[in-house]
Amino acid sequence: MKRTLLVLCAAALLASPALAQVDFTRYVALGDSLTAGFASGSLMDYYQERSYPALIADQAGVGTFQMPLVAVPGLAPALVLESLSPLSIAQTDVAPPSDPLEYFYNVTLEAPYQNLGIPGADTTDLLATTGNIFNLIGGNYDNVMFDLILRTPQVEDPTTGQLVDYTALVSAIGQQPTFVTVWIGSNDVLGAVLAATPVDGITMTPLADFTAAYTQLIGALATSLPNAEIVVLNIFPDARWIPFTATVPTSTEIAGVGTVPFIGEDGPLGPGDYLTLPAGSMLAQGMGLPVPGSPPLPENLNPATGAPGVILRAAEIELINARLAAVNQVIAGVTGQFSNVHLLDIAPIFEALENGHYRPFGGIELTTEFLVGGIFSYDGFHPQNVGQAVVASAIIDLVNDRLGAGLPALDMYRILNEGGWQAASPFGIVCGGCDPKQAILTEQAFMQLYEVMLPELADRWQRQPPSPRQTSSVD
Amino acid sequence: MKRQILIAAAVVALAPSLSWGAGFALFEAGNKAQGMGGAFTAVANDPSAMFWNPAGMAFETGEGMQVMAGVIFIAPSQDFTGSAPYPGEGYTSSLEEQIFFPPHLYVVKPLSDTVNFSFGVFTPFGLGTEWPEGFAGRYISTKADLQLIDIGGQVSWALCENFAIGGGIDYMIASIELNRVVPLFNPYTQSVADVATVKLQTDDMSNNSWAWNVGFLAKLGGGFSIGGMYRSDFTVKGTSASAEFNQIPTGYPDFDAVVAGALPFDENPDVYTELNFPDFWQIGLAWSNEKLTISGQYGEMGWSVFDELRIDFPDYPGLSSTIVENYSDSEQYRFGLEWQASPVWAFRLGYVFDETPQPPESMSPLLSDGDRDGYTAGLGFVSKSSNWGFDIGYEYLVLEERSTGGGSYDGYDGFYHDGVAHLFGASFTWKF
Repeated sequence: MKRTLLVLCAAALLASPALAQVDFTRYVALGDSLTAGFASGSLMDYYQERSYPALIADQAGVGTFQMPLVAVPGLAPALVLESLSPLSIAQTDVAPPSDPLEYFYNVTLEAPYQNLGIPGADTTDLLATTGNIFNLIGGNYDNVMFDLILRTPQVEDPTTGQLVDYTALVSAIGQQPTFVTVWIGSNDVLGAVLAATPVDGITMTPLADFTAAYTQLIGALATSLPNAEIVVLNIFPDARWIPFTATVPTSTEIAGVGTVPFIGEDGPLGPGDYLTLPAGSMLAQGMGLPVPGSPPLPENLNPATGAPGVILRAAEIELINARLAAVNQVIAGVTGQFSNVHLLDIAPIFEALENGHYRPFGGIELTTEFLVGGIFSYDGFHPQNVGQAVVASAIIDLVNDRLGAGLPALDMYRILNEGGWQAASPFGIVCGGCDPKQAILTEQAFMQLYEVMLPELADRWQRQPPSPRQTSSVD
Repeated sequence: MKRQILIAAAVVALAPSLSWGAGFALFEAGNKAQGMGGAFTAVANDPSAMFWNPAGMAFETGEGMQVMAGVIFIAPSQDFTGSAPYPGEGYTSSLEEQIFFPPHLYVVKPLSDTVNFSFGVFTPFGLGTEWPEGFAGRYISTKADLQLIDIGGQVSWALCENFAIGGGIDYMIASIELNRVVPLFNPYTQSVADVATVKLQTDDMSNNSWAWNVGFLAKLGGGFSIGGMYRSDFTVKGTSASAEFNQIPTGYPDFDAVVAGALPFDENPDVYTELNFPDFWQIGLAWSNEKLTISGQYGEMGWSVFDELRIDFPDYPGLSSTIVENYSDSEQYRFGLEWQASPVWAFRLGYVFDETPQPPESMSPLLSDGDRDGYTAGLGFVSKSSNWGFDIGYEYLVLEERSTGGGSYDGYDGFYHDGVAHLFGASFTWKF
């Protein structure tokens, strides 16, 4: 009897889920550019190795955590700061290695990658899009990130023997991970910010489509990997907190006249309107100025050229933010259905960074501010190594506090002091002796970034051109 | 623009993260009391009674006019070992060696057989911390000095031959100096850079406040006495202080130019601060005969008044800040022993337990406190003519080892350890 009781007690202990240790034996990260470690308009090994999944793998002592590493200067070549006054950010002139096997030096790995963050991917892409490394090696960059990361279009299903599409989801489940992170959905909305044009089906995924794809993705992971702990991050809560939106002023001071707003195609900028980063170079070229003969700033994505708009009117910001909230509501609803899926709400972190309340490190305050805030990279959109560490810290806190893992905190002293890729690069600091350019972000650099991030936007626009101000189609 | 990028960032970076700590109370008012662990409220028979019990000198009118002057040297040391996330596991640093010497001076003049008047200058609060150049906590504090000088006048009155009361007023003058380094993200290197030093300091003697004190001393018979005292809280309003910014070149001229435009380097802008000091009460019981005095004492400091610290820049409101401190009231226990070995020589021993009011979250390089155990010893000499004498005191103070527990308000986490202080001094007394 006594022995039976002991066994029962032991069984009860074993079954107790509250303090279950998280098993980090096999970790797979699913997501987009934020998960890949994409920074300063580039996928580069220096930042990939400092992406939040890589940091977590390090802290957890994960044995194998492979990534699609790209050599300096990155894909596309990384943006660098050439000059602060006048402000000039441009692509590095460091040339990529001519041999693709040197440039993409981990493509010959005979196993899947564990970091399945695919720059540019939206939720549907994780379910449906495949890649083929031979396109990339052959110089075809049309589907570059999927080709680089997924590499093979189809694999054989070991149970049925049939060929199936090798998507990010298939790769993730096939690896039978014990721990998974998922951070997807940003590209379902934030293309609207990049193009300064919120239009459903073009720069944003219609909410119903997003909901269906997200439900399918998380459901497949949760049910196929019942023993894995899955941490899911929701998306940025406010489009105005991204330096890409928040940095360029909407008005100028003219002596004797006062504050005068810049001019867009639909008239002067008003309260609550925002200019995106590429507006800076246009202003520097004389566009949008409140003087006769100055061409107005483009409002929206140009369907003929694929050139982005640079003005987010207050109503557009409201639409985008409403969509961000709706997407986050879907994420909360879907993740709440599964006991092995744990939602990390990133809104409080970015709210604190925006308002200067984020916990300091030895008196060092991090903010969302462009260039000097410490979080965002030169593209104004993606975090650099410090921003990635902030995300990793939040995930570490979650698995420690809610799942009973005992991961050590990151060494933020090292991370705050290690600097950008040039610090570790044999090429040294890139701006030594460079020519300052009269631009915030040179157009060439921006277009490169834009093409990498949203390869399909212009195509979609040409297939389905709405009227330029058809923002009401967003539900 | 949402706001001006660099200015805003600089403002955030400048918000001073300072926390005044418990340890800036000083009990070194005289070396006789020091030798007895400060268990002196029920004894109070030398001019340092001005601090320990305002009623005490009422029973000493027979000694005539007394002048007592002295100094106590304080040599503190403390080590720090970091933890993640900042400054990281295994990081170590040590407080720079410094010696402080708060002086004291008392003049006591009998006005009648039962009334004594005291005038005194002493230092009831003080603080000094300095860390090595370049240490990881330099954005919080590199060097801090606080000195509070108390200029007091006091009357003690023996209502009858075994009961006395006393009271006085104190004019408090504060001088403060705070130094730290200003960090800003260098957009070229994408790492934290030291862009400026800032020194906040009081400019003259006009940062002051008034306080008051009362006490009683009763001789109960059989050698027993009981004493109590209360010193009021007060707030020093720093109406005359300024900040001096000095730029540190980063090697990136256009970044330096932006920093130069964002911080008031050539102006020494005015700073307004308010610093709340705690009240303090003690109650003690002593027994003595011709050879031996035994004294015990309990008291509290009302540190909960130190809930926040405001630092305002009237001309640069964006630089102003309010720091949460959340101190608690703290207790003290004191025990003292004096053995009058001969009419000339006396030997003293004592022990004090001084509880820290500082929550672990506000421990920082500016001040990192812990509960204190103090072990004291002393020696007294009185000349055969009784016209003069001296007291020598020594205290070995041990600070509790203490961790910030990962919750440092400044994000500077770790373990403060091996905190000790040697306090050694002498007071000379002349009687006229």
